[in-house]
Amino acid sequence: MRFDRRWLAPVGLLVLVFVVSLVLLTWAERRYTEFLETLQGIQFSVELADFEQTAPQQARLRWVVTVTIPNPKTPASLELLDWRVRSADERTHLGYYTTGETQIALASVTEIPVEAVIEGPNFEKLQRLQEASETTLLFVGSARVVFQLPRGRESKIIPVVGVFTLQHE
Amino acid sequence: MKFLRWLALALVAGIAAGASAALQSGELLKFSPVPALLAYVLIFLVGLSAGFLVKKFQEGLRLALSVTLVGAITLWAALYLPNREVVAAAPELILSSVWWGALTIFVLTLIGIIVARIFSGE
Repeated sequence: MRFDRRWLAPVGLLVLVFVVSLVLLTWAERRYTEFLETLQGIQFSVELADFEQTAPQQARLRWVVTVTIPNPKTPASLELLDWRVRSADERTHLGYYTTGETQIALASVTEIPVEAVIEGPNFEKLQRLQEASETTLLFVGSARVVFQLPRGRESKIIPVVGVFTLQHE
Repeated sequence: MKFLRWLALALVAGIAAGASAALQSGELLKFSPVPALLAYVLIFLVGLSAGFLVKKFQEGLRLALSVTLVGAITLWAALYLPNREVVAAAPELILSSVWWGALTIFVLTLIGIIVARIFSGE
């Protein structure tokens, strides 16, 4: 089989482009797969850390939101946008709360303390729930997770839902 | 050109063009280590090198179509495999990327082949 010497340069260039493109694609695919795995594996849990009545018509609730990412490979940060507190049957709404724009770098396990002061009509609703022994409440929020990618950022809004129980004082 | 040589050329050039086109697709662009412009340059270089390996422009045009076909399949596989769970339910999510990628491969490969044929004195 004869090989024309004039073909050496174009064949060499084609083989070089073939190898370079496949290496770049493999690299990009790996980063993409890691991002998808991180996104699918991200989990939130909400636990009530503290509940105290701070004034006659005011109560303060503190939670710890735990974000778990198994084997994190894509750097990411999280911003807890806002959350609502509701009764377990979702009939009673106990207010809407936000922390402002605080971004927290995510590790495999990240604990984020959040706090809400329930007062006025919402406090009265909370008291009525306690009197009726309906102490199981819902924490319904949303978090913006921002992933740092090789060529830009990708942000996803993820719902954060937790159930917690108020202890009788 | 002999069939086996043609097949090998179409496969190597098509896979290279498809892999490069995947790097500039909306799905993978943010994850690519290189800018989209380099992906276009790589596709053009595929056309340029292939253009020096054909004898007539008509042969180059047929090769560009073969490269586009193999490139589109490579591009589809590159986008489908990591997203198969989503795409199985909504294939249109990657179809527009494959369509535009195939068009890009055809146009840039053809330009590369034309430039190569001009340099070859045709």
